Amino acid sequence: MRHTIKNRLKAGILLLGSTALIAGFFGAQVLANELSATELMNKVHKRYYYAADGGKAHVKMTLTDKRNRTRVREFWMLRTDIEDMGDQNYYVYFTKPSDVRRTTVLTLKHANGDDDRWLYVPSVDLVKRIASDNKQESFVGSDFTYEDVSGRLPILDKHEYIGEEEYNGAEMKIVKSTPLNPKKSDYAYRKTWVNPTNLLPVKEEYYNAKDKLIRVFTIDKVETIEGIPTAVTRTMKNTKKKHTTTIEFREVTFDVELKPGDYNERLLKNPPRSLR
Amino acid sequence: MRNYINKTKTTFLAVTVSLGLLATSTSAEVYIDGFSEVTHALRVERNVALDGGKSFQNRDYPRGDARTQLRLSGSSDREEFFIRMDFLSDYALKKDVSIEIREAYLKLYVAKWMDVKVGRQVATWGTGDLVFVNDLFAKDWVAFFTGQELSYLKRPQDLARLSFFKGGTTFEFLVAPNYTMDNLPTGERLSTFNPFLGRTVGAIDAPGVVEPANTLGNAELFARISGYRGSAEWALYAYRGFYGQPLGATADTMLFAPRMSSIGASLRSSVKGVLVNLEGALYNSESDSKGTNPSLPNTSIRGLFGAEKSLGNDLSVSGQWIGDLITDYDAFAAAFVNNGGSVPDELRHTVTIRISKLLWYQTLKLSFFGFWGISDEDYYLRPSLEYTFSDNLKISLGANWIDGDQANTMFGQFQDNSNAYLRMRRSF
Repeated sequence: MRHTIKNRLKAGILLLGSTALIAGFFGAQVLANELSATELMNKVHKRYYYAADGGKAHVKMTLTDKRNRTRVREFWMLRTDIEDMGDQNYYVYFTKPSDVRRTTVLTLKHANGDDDRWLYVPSVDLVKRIASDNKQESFVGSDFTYEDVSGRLPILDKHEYIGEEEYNGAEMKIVKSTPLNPKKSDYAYRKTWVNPTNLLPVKEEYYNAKDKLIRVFTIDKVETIEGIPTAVTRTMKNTKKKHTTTIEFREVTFDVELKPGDYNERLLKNPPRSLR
Repeated sequence: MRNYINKTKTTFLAVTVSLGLLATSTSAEVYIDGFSEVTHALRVERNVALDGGKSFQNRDYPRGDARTQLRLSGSSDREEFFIRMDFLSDYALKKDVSIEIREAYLKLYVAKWMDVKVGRQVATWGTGDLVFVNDLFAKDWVAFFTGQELSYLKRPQDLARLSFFKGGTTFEFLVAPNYTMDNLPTGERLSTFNPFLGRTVGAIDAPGVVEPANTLGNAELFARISGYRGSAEWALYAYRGFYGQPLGATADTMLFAPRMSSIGASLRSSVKGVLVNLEGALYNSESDSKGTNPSLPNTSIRGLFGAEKSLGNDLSVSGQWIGDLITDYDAFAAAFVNNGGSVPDELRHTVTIRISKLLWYQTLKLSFFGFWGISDEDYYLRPSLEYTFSDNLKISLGANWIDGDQANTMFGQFQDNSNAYLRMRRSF
């Protein structure tokens, strides 16, 4: 899920500790300049969706419609990676609104093939399997799709540099990514503004086949947590429907509480004590 | 109306609630939330059978209730308690305000490999969508047919549930000290079929129902072993207890739930983007092993095949086929008492279809569910529309359209009960 953002050189920063951090970032910048667009997007993806080996966060999702009415969803999210750029397990435990409190969702994300997803409805003790081959569908009624949340692998797109631009006081690299199979995505192409210093995708614009802007993603706030610069506030705006979703991450940790094998029906029905 | 909370159950419940309170006192905090809800169901056709009913309102609406549900929960490291209770004002049946304890359980995390959940709770398993093969836990069909929210389809039961885990395999064993029968139309809210009279009746002419005595020997036992293999889920089930419905007849024209034991299996997997499920069970009618007794159900086999496909844009379609095979059919047919309907087929086919679509950022949900009894020539259609005004306010509109050619079939017995409902829920 897009909830944890890794922005560190995989071995370097972790091993060398905080003094090496700055050097690491300079290293990253130098690296970014030499990378092909595909290599850069691979690194962005890996750090954005596979930070550390997993993590935990409390997420507040605010949905605002064109009349400025808001709806709020709050949930805990746990992630355990099985393999970098490969399979991952996700667990979501809803705390708000009260109608869905205690509802949980388990997703076994498969890099090759459809994900497996289950929903648990506690009021009926029902474990419902969800048909999940459609990653372009909205995640819990928000502007984020399932794919936005759990990641779209860079190998599914063709990537090219289309320029550089100053954004929020830093020089960003702009990458255009075009899906190789247009039927498998809800947009024709997207542009990503990558911060070469921390490799965060600070802004993304999604276009349809008529070159019309349909969605805009931005990272609004970054905090360094456990040495990992993390996008703690992110927004997705649907420009046509004038509908916006903002996600705020709180209590972020990169401790991996659960082993991959723990993501099963027992977890679905029994949220860990730290979440209850 | 059957006596819902009897003495033993009350004792069982009291123990659980005390345990819960004990847990509350040890846990850091108690979380309280809930909702208030009004459900009003209106008849859309005249029901002659109910015209002789004792309450005038029954003729106009099968359900009219206002309820407030409170949920209390709390937990500590090794335990968790949960209480869900409804304060109910039932204006369709002119009942006073009542309290329904829908759940009151204590969950104990005994060991890494074992959980215990004891108290009043709902339990669900199996792979069917509104069709139950191995899920032999109690249902409330009256709630289902009269516009109540779906969770009310499950009738709470007092259960001790033991779960054991090893690797990816789970073994579960449940004991219900007291048998809980399905809640079926009794002629009060909905008319029902009286097999002794051979016609649809209201409350006055509804057949009497005898429940099994609350003895240890009449406890219900449920078991399941389940696991995963890749994206496929498998499970084996076993049950010993009684049929959930009063399918047996006594000599003095009363109905009762005969002894039944069952074994079954299920498989569910995603195949090329389609969710597929397969389930089967053998229902062994213990008191009529030869199938020659006309006042008892025959042993039967139920099979289910289902498929679901998400078509994108929050549209999904699913379908199920259900087959019910009566064993010792010749003996059954020879002994069948022709009283208001023809002999059921040896293999009865039923199909279901569900279409659901979400719109406007999933605030509007349109859904259609239909059952068609191919062999029984009956049907039950459930169209519904649900709109979420805000996080706390939801309105649902829907209908229960039930009809059939004959008065003794699954849905045909509830003909003339079709209704439309409006439900409004405010959560807090």
